[in-house]
Amino acid sequence: MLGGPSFKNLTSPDFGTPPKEQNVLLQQLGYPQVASFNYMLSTGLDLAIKDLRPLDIVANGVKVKVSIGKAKIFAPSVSQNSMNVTVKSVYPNACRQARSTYKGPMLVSLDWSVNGAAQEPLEVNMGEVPIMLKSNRCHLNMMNPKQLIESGEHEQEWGGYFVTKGLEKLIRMMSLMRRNYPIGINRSSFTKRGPLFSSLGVVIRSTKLDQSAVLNILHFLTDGTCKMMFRENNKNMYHVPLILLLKCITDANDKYIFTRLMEGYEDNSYYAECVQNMMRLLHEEGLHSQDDCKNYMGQLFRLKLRQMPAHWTDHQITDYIMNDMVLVHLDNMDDKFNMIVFMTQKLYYVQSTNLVENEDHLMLQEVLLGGHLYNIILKESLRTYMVNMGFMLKQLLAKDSSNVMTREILRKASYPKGFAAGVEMIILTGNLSINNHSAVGQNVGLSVTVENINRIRYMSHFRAVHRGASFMKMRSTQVRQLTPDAWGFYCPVHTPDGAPCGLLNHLTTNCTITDMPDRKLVANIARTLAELGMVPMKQSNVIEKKDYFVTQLDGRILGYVKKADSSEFEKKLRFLKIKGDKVPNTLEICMVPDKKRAPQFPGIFLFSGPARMMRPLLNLATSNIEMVGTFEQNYLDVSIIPSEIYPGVTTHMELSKTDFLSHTAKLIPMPDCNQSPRNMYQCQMAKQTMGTPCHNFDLQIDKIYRLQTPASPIFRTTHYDDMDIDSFPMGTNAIVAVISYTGYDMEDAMIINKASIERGFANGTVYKTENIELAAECHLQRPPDQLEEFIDADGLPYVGRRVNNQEPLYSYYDNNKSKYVVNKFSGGSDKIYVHKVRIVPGMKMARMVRITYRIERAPMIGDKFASRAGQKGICSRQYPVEDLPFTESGIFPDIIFNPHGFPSRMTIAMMIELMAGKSGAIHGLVHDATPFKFNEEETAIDYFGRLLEAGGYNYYGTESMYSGIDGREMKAQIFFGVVHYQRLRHMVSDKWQVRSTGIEDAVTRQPIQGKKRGGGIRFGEMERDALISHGTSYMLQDRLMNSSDKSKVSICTKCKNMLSVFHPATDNAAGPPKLVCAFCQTSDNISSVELPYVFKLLAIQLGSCNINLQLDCKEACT
Amino acid sequence: MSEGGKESKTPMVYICGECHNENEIRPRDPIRCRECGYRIMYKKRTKRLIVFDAR
Amino acid sequence: MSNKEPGLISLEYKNVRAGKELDTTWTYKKFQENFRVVIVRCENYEMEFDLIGIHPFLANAFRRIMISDVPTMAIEKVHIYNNTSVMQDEILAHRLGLVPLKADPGLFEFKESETSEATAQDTLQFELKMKCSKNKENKDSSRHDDIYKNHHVLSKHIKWMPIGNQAELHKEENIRPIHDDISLLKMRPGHEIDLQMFAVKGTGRDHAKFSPVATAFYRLLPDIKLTRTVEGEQAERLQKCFSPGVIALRKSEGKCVAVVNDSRYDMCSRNVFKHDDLKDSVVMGRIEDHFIFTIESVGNLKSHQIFKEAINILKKKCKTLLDEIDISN
Repeated sequence: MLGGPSFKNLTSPDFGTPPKEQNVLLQQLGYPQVASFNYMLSTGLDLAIKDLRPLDIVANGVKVKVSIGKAKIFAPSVSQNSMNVTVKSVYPNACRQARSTYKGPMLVSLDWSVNGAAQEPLEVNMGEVPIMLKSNRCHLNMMNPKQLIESGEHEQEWGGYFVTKGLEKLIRMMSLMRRNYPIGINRSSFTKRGPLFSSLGVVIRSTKLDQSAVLNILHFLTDGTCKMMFRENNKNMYHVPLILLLKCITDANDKYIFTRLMEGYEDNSYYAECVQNMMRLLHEEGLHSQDDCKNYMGQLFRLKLRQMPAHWTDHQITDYIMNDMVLVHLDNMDDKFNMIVFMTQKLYYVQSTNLVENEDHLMLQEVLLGGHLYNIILKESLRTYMVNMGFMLKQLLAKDSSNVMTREILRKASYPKGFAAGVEMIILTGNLSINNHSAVGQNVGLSVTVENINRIRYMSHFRAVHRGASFMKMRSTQVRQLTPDAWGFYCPVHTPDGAPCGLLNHLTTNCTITDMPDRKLVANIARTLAELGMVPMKQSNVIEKKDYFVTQLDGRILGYVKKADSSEFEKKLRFLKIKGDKVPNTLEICMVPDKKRAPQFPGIFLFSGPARMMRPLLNLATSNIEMVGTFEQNYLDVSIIPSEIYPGVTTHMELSKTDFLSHTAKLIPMPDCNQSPRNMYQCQMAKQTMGTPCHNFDLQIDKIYRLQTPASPIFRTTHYDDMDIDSFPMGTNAIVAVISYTGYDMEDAMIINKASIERGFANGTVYKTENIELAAECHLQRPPDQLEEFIDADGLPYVGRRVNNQEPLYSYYDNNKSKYVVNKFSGGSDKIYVHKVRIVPGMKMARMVRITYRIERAPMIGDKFASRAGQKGICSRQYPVEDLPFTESGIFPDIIFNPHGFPSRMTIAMMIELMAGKSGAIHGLVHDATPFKFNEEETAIDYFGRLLEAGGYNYYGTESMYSGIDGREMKAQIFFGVVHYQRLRHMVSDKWQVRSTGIEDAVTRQPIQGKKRGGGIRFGEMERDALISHGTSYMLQDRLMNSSDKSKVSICTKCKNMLSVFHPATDNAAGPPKLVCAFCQTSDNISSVELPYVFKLLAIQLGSCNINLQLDCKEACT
Repeated sequence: MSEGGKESKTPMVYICGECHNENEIRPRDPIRCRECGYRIMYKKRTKRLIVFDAR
Repeated sequence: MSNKEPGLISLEYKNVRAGKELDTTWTYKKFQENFRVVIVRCENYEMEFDLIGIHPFLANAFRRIMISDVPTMAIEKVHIYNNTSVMQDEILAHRLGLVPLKADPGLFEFKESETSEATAQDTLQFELKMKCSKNKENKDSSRHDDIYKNHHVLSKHIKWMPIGNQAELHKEENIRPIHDDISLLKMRPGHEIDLQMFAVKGTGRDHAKFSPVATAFYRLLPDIKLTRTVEGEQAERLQKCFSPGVIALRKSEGKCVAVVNDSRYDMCSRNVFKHDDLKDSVVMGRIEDHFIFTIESVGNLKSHQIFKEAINILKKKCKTLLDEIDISN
């Protein structure tokens, strides 16, 4: 893209000074989210408000109508009543530090009328709602890097997330069903929806411009009829016969409906019979005209739908259903009719050909964006708000005897209780309340915290797309499969292994999510298409539909294109799309051909809407870049390199060979030389590396893993420079010897040079913050003339001081108890320093103290390291430098890597890196690690080998070495070079766990679990099996009883009961009383045995169920 | 007992997070910068001796 | 220099034995007869010399002692009174510890224990006190050196603070960081550091900062022999397979013929074995008891001093061992 990698970032004289403008590539990370939020601000919210049903109340003869006229969201600012504040704006960084939410006020104006007379609108302050960073309501928007730094952000800040309660929260991108396109699917659960239901159905996720969606399914019934499903507020499901539905929509006669349904399928006698049958069935019910149908529907649903104004007529109710529950993306009844006809045709087509589509394919999916979900949340919250206002109004009006509706009453009723807090909670927790369960399909886990462990982790959060929480539980692996149509959109490498494998995908570098297109352009499309030869819908009754493709735009049928002319039509349209002045650039043109083995229902489907994945390809006809969508890509012929082009067939070409990789995968050196799972491992490990997550350490409150001595890799991909990773480096260039030198380096263990560590190799620091919020009755203060060594006069620790375990940390005076309380520090054996003490406004109290610690973490035995080829290992020993082998030129390795790690893992890239790093270090070069640069003829090994040779080293990267222990030259040649090593954040100091005795569980009296509470490590079933199979029964008894919940239990051997034994109450002090059995009333047969306490617990619990547990006792052999 | 024993008379010095002004604040005063009204304050680094191992 | 036959032959990937195993029996007489020291180069802080006729175990012992047992002075404790720079205290302390000090360790003693009181005999005290400020004179410049004062803390800013009678015993130019231009820290106006450092005597075994050598290592003397005449283009290729100066090209009868010039400085890359037509023309051997030592001093001690010190330490160790044996007998 920009030539090979170089040291340009490091050697530039401007390194460190903020650039004039932000990096475009990095801005792309937050762009889809920001754009969607801006859409919500500019249009989406207004549309949502218009869509809300106005309150229509008749109480005590007063007719009141209330609707929301306007809603506005403002930028965050300091509350009006605070005095002496020079900076009125609130910036995100202040919110992070003060653990507050970055939120702006939302104002709503209520239009209302009493008995039809319009009143002056009432303005209501709805409270403050979270604002997305870098959106149009954020102060950071339009800031240049210098200004961003001044307001405590990074120069490349790309926004797209929220700050709630001090945490950076991102609304997770989730894949949803592609909007406004009917999909023919076969789902076995459909059969459970009612009698005669088959598994076939045509599903459409009908989405309005305010982004709220409704699912409609046209079900095929085994008797040849079909029923349409719709839902009320995404809750209750209703099924209505097709013809009844059609008649409610149109007042046309049966003949018209029949001919329309049969268009293009006139010779399908089965289909004709089915349609006739359905029509007959409706007439048998006595429903003949549109009027009949509407009345019937209205009567039925008046009972079903709550909150319907009682004074509405049946017709009004039916119209409401047709408008708000059926194909809501269309607001014209003719369009709805046409679409239902299309769906019916598709259903019977799918039924006869069995050409079902798979909703797991990326081509039938789109992405849920933060702003869109936010719009839905606001809409649903406002809906709830309106409903509550209705209840309040009714109550207030009923109470008021004067029966006069006043402004004051409305003001009271319209108090937005918990509105803003509710919105904030959704963003913070990611949990939707039951009330506004939306068409998203899940109501938990909608938001994620953006963890800033390192730059790669941070970036990848913004590119992750989740399939949805409901799929996590699915047993079948089908949803996790990478389908071929995901090529170029989802990275095949970057998905975690384990539970979320295949469900959590990452977008490729060039993949974008479309924004809302220019609405004027979209409105023009129909006319443009007609100019290109489409027969518009209005003139379509004269044509023979069989020879025509149906043409849809965003789920609206626009007309028909002659099949013979279709390829010419597509070509012209594509040309216009690239030009972009008549149709939007982001238009997706899906021409499904009508071949013998057609893959899908044929037709021309155009999509202009937002939230679709698109990526740039080179259009060979015009040599321009064209954005291509997921659906459309399947019907294009794309080559990767010029030599693959078939003249006349290939229409598009990839921009580069690596376009199918995500940001993280693009940073792996030479992934084409690795065994593929190693690249996946590296994607995971890159995200756990210690590095430089931020530049403003003093302004951070998260847990930060910082590498003190990071270095820029010598062997790296071009993407490394493009993404400015040099500004956030991670990992160090280590001198590596591939040798099996001692017993300490087997099985993925690695030896690190002790002298290297002492000189700073892979030294790190962890920053951690503790919050102190005192009760109102307490205030921080040091006890007079005490503890001056530890605590400052204000009761807080000295900044910079080293704190040891159990040392006094802070102290306060408790007014309730009238005494000083000193709190001690608990933090293990690490070297910990007080880095910063902040006093900020608290969440509940007036103030909160946040103490940030700095924890020194030099590498130690048990810390985890990894190269960039998925080769992880644990440091098993810090080897003294004099014991390490050395080369002819006197170089000692930093790391000893065991050669047995190579054969089975086949990480050739690491071997290449070793040579490349070495040659780069000799010649002072950076080498390009971008994949697919080398091939079988010109191998990387040869290229770097020759460079090594030129530097006087062995061509194969080997060197002779001398043993550091006995001093002799080794027999074998050692593979020796420079590899970029990452230090992973998993460190023993955080993980080691030991317990001799300690707290026990109150119920079972067994040792508890958990490192924090001083618990033990579970000796589980598998460990038990091991001991049993070894026959070490004494050991088993020791682990499971003696060291666990051993207890002495007294048993009455006669009645075989252990619960009946008790101490009788005695009043004289004649020595300790003897145990007595309650049943036998003697103490003769009582003996004591040792048992696990849980066994006694079991006996007690059984006893509580009236089950007597009896134990046969024998005298112990002595 | 009156107000938690002896209030220490000496006010502590904190640095404003916005304008970096030094503010003298007494134990139960509100936390707010006198110059700019900002409500995040940092404690100053101690000038007491801290001993480090140079390793 | 050496006319011995090589005991080891280097093949493409491994070394094989040629001839007899090295004689590991050791007698003083034999040693005295065979042992030679040849000093090739001896600059202040870098030296190269050969130990000939010595066993690798003994040569290695010297190497190991030089790295980890020869003591030097280095900063061990840092007392920080103030540090408002961006560098964290412990990182700054670690950095200061690694600054090599010019102070003859022979003049000082080991500290008795970590907690014992610092005395003039075992501790050196230093001070570093700096405050960065704006330079009001050069407002227009954008160079940091012009607009800031004291913004770059270097090792030369470290000041010696004599304890007790140290000022009389040592000259000021002998107690200081070896290099003046080690970058320690960069500051911006308002930043301030104020700290004291205490240097003690220690060994590299304890911490790498005490090690007197940047590196001390040896290698075996290479012995390269040509088994046949190599001429023309092959000769040029052969020359490139070795380090510069190893193979010379001679004109004889109008042809270029390769001859071994000096095999001492060959880095043993063995690249010659890559060429199928050349690999039979060379025998690469090693003289097994000829060690070429290189000592690069950090600067506290001169290279030859380090080696002498290493010998003394080995002597002492042997004596200790003998004493132990005597006692146990």
